Amino acid sequence: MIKERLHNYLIGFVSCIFLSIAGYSIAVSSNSNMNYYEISVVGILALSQLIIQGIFFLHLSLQKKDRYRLIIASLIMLIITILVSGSIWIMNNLNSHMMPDTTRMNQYIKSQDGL
Amino acid sequence: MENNLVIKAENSKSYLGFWIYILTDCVVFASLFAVYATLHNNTYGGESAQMLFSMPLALTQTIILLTSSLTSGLAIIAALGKNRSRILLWTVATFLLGALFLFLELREFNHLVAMGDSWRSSGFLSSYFILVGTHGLHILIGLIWMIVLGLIVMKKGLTAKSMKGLVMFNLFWHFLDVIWIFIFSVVYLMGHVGL
Repeated sequence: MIKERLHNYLIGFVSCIFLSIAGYSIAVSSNSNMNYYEISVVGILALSQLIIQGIFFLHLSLQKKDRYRLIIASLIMLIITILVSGSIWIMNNLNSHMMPDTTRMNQYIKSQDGL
Repeated sequence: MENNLVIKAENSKSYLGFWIYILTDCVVFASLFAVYATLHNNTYGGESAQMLFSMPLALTQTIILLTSSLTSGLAIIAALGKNRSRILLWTVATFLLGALFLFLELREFNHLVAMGDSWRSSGFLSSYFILVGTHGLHILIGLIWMIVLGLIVMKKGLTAKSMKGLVMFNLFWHFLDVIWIFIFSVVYLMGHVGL
């Protein structure tokens, strides 16, 4: 039991360090702006770290004793997905529909000394 | 093994309750991430994330927090083996790493404010400071919690209550590590690529 846990912790720790450094080197080595390939790789690396930490640090599994924790966690993940993707979607839509030209607005804000 | 106090704490109802709290706290952070994602381009003529943040510092902070997550887990393993001095040792290690992390974060905040990039400068910086600052506040609460836990373990020993506290703290600390990984990826890495 103790040995198994220690083993789990070390696997989780080493793979998380590895994934963090991998994401870091991918991001640092790129010089271009808005590169969707790099952005999605960094996102996938972060999500895989979430799963690794869930399994190895938080001991989530498909066993019966973990079932409630797993159900709660997956529902919250669903809520978070809806919350974050919905907000980004709506706000980007608003941005692109309501601000054809922000230069005049910026001039006005600057003339009012930043609101 | 079923009679071990740590295992008992992990199977208790309060552990499940604490798990629900942790996940609702995830929703708080998710909304702050959504705010950051919508506002991160509104720099109001100031510097963008690409220019502002030091990447090696962010990686150092990530590694420090990951290591502290490991040492906090090692404290639980020590508690499984009923080794009181080792619980204290690993808790002190976690505390020192957490304090170092918070120090680096506050130093970066201080640097940004000194350069004139405070939370008042733009929507981007407001959302950055509130997101990272909320995480830092959680870390501070975790540090205070660790001091209390250390004192309880020292004074009262390995009771059912102190083991429950230790197990819940461990969950809290892992959660903060997961949140930081997302801050690291979304704010620093994606910011550097120029999302």
